[in-house]
Amino acid sequence: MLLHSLSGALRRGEAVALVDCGAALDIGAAGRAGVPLAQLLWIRCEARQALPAADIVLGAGGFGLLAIDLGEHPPSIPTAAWLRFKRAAEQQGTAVLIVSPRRTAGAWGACALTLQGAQPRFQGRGVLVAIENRVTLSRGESTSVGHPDFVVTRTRR
Amino acid sequence: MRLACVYVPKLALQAILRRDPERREEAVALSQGSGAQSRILALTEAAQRGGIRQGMTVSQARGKMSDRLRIVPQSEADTVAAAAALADLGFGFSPRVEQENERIFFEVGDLLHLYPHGERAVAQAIVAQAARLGLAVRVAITAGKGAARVATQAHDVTVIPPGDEQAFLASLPTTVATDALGAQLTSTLDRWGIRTLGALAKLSSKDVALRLGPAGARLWRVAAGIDDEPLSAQLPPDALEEGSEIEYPIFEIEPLAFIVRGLLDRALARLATRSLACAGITLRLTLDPRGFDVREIPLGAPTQEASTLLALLRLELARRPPAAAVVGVTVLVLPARLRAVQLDFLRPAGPTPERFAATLARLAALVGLDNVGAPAAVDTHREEAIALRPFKTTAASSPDTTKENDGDLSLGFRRFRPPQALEVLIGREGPMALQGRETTARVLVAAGPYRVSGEWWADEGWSRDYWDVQASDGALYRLHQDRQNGQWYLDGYYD
Repeated sequence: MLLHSLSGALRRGEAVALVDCGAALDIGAAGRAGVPLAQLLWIRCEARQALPAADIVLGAGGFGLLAIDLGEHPPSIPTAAWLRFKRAAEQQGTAVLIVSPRRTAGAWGACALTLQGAQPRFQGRGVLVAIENRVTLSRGESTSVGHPDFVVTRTRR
Repeated sequence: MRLACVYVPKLALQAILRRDPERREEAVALSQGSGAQSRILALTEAAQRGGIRQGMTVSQARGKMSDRLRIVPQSEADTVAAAAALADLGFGFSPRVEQENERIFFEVGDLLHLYPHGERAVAQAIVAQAARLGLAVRVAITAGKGAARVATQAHDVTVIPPGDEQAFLASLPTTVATDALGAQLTSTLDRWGIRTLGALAKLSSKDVALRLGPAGARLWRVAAGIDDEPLSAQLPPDALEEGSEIEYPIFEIEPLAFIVRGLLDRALARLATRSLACAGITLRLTLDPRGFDVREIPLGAPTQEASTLLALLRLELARRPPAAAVVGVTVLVLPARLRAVQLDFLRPAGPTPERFAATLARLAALVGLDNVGAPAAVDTHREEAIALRPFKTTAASSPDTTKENDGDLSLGFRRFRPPQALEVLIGREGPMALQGRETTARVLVAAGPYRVSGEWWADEGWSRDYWDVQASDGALYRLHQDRQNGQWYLDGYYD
């Protein structure tokens, strides 16, 4: 979902930055998702550097999308920092996408997509061909995961 | 041809005052050395009012104004930097600049297109720009170098209309011209009763040349308004240098950063005068008692932000502190033009190039230069291989609307860098269970193996068996076994 967001924004001609804690970006997956790599500003950093790096990108202005992958162990970010971050993003007109194992931005995010229950599909016993995820959309402070709103299927290309 | 001459009176003193501009109004004297018998070379007006005179010894000066006088020894590094800053001032206005010690000359004929209010406006702009560089200058705009030299010796700002040189110079005393031209003729002219340039011009040129030699002939030509000395233009320097000698050894990074900040500010002000940015820095530290420590700091993109450059220098110094106390600092700045990007009519406006360059430099200062850029594929079959290329704002192209996503999403993958070592229980069908630093799970489905090998022709040859496994913790992992040593690794998981 992150890769397709990056791909879509870059193809629209927007300036896009990815703050990647732990350098989890896989070049093969990014290529298959159609991300024009030469146009992506990739910032590899430690978890503690993620918010300062994102602040710098937001401060520059002109970015259409700022994606922050907080990695496997997201840092503890105070609420005040999110509020400041939200205001900066609104001021600059930058969409911010945060990828994290758990919901971190709380009520400050416009919406949250929760992906659950990955169901793989294997072809025979040798090839993983697709994964299905149930996706729940929540807004505001709601963090409970109820019935899935839709199902997404990712296929191996 | 119209020429501007910019003169910096007491250049060596002004070079020191560039460091502490707030001391400009205080009583400051420049001494030849640091000893008590060193002579005073130059002084500020406040010191002059206190009775200090040029040529006094330091102890005499202290006797006159012990409490309020600050005596600073002259610094070669500061003087050289101030002279270079003066040249930069000229290059900010014209590509044809000639430097002559504490003076520069440059063509200003074409500048009237930019300054339609006339040459006096040009002169005022030069004075203002010099003030930004920390220099108090005198400016003269004339048709020739000789008249300009004399005019800067006499007045702060002078504009002599074409053809009026002789009339302007006629009333000036000969001492002004002899000082400007460095000719030791004042006493001879005094004996002759010649006290103004007008009186000198009335003499016969041949007689003056016969009695006073080439210096006298030159002085007569200036006085007569005959000025055919050509402008010999010089090339701008490849790099800007700002240096400072420290009066006491510095052991810690913070006070050193304070001095470097001043040097960077002055270097960037010089770059800004020429509408340039900094593309790289070399820091040269003079160590106590001897030796140098030289650091080169490349930048992700040219920038004009001193704070960003200072952050990079701080990081470098913190990473590898100097081996001894520092007694001198020189900053060498590589100039570069800021990137100009033609915006696309159909593209959303991205970050402005100038601001974006500073952003890249600030990001590099935060996470390291090796961690900011554009990802790029490497010519290898190793799955985890990835390179980082310098990010270029021009890499973006027009919106590609032909390849809009059709709703079919591809498999995402989150990679662990470096791959995590694993212990894997193997059954007949492949992996049955895995245990790693953060993962312990049974394997429900295992797809594989996919054998990949490469670079067997080189020393770093490799061969791996890859597996995609559905684990009991709900994740879909990709793992591999190194066939050379049998070790298992967790590459990441499908996301």
